[in-house]
Amino acid sequence: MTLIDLEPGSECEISSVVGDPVVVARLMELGFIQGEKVQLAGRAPFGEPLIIEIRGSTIALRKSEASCVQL
Amino acid sequence: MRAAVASSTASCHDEAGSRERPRAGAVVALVGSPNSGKTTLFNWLTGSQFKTVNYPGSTVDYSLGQSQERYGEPLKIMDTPGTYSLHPKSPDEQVTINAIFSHPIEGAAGVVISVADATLLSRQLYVTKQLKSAGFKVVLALTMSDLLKEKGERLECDVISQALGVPVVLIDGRLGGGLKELLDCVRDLLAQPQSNPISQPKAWKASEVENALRSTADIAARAVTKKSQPTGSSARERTREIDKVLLHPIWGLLIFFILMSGLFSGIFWVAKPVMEGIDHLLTFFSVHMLALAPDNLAMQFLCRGVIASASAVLVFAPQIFILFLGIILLEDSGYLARSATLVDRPLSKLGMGGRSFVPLLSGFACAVPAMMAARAINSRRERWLTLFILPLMSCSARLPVYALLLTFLFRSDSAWKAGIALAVIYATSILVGGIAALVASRFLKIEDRSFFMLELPVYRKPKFRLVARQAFMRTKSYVRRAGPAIFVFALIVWGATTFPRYDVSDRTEQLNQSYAASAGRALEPVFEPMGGDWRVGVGLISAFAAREVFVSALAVLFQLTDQDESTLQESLLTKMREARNKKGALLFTPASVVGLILFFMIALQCLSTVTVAFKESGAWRFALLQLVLFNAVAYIVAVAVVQGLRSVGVS
Repeated sequence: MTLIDLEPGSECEISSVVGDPVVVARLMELGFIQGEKVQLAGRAPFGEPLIIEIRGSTIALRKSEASCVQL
Repeated sequence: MRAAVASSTASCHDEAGSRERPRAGAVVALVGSPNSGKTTLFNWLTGSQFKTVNYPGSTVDYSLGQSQERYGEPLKIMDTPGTYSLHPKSPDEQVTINAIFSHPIEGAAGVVISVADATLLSRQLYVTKQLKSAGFKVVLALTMSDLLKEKGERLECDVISQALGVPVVLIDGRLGGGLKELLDCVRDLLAQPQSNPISQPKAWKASEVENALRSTADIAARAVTKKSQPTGSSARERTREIDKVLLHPIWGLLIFFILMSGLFSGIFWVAKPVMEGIDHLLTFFSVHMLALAPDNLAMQFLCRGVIASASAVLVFAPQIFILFLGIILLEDSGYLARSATLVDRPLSKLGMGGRSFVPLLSGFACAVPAMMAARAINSRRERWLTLFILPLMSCSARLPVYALLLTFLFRSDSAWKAGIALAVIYATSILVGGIAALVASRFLKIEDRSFFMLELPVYRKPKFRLVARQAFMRTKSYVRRAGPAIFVFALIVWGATTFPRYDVSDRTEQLNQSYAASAGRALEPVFEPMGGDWRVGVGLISAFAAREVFVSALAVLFQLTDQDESTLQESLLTKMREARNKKGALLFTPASVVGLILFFMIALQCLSTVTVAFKESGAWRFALLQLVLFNAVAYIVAVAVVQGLRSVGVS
């Protein structure tokens, strides 16, 4: 299961981040690392981007990037 | 608020003694994540003594300035684009890295002020750690400490200072507290010898990133202690509540629509009286000065050439100021990131992204400020595409032309038909822009991954004085950067419409015998298929100074003497209805006028736009490609439509 399958409002722990190396590196620098808790706060009006809460900050991610985050 | 200075280097508190003068070239760089409060800090430190320039060899902005005297001996301070790490993923981040490691003039930064949001330490200390391990002498400046206080939390600066081995200074971004302490610390570090060699870090392995982030989380957990009950809800909680409305599928889009309409009205209507004021003032000068010696070439050059060309530069300044005032207000309040999030999906279908929206919208007022606003797009590919299609958005300079041509088509008695036609023109221009974006994104070779990872910061009340100052600096940088080229182009167009018979005082005669008219006559076979003759050609050539000049050029060509603008259009329309070409056929027919409208919709006839496109893309090839391509397509479409209409019996 990845970040895009998360129900709005629910929280989950990250198991790994995989995919394009540049995207993975940036996601990790933003705090998406193994064991970190993420919450899907909601989705933008057209279903995308996803609005994610991690380490006290809020980040908007497109589905293509969010799908790199395995839960 | 009193700033706490916690320091691992005792010398930070040492006020007395022999402080060395900073070495020449020892620049102090501000580095931090986007939204870390870096630019506000820079503004506090430098006052207005800074300039924003392109980083050598790129189109990314950075600012260089001097610290204010009230914080002690002035230091050279550099603000860099926000970055999440020292391993760059975008052109702006690359500029930050280049600027601190190997600035072509300043060399490596003497001291780096690492700026971090005190409420997001576990993430933002990551950059501080990287800066330290790269060998820099680092001071950590913590912003947004007022938000911590609100939460009833206290920050133990000593914990952070000891864990990272850097001095820590708390900054109050609202009141400007802690600045003197920060700069004293910087001066002490500058005086110390550079003990470690500075070297750019190699890409970190995943495990290294994880370890670093775990240790920053640990430091943050130890440094932030609960002191008292929070004084009301925290900024983050408030932000969450506000976002429930502002990112709502219906309310969110509605408020987005209202705010963007406000921004657009600002550049379209609020700027207008100021622009007209500038125009009238300069015209007043030019007319009255010219009256002193109408036949004197030097006077003509000064009045019609120099003053009019200066007006061509300055006329954009109010729009640029108001647009940037709006953008910076939205950005500092935290809304700009939300607006980009709201419309990212539809724009991503066209190869662009949420950040392209504000520039594209501004393009309906004027492409010049709009192209400058496109700097906020950090994906190179998305920025290129946005810059590319911007001239297709129907700017306000096209309105007088559309107004004239639509009144010709529909006569003034059926204003509603003209209104509908104008709406159709705007809708078509959006459609054409969309198609152009789709086509261009197929051919575009720039393969930078357009990842949309946008931090949504907490909502904050913007500080109007800082916002206004930044908008003013933007406007100044436009006048300085694009001004000279726009001025020269305007002079060239003036020269072409004036020489060689500058000595004739009758403007119609002068224009009739000018180089522009010769070019128009020579190019008549080119204009003929789209239903024009040489006069239309001269009008189109003159329009390169500014599109609305088409109307005044026609007025001169048809020898209209009315000074009153309201009767000018009527007389011009009468002349247009009578005008015949060489073969004696009517020159302006429904077919040829529709052709002209389509031509104006697509053609890139604005040399100011070409200049700014060059400045913003950093490549003449880009600007020339736009110029040639849009004009060629406009011509082909106009010819096809005129000939098509004629073949089905519409004259």
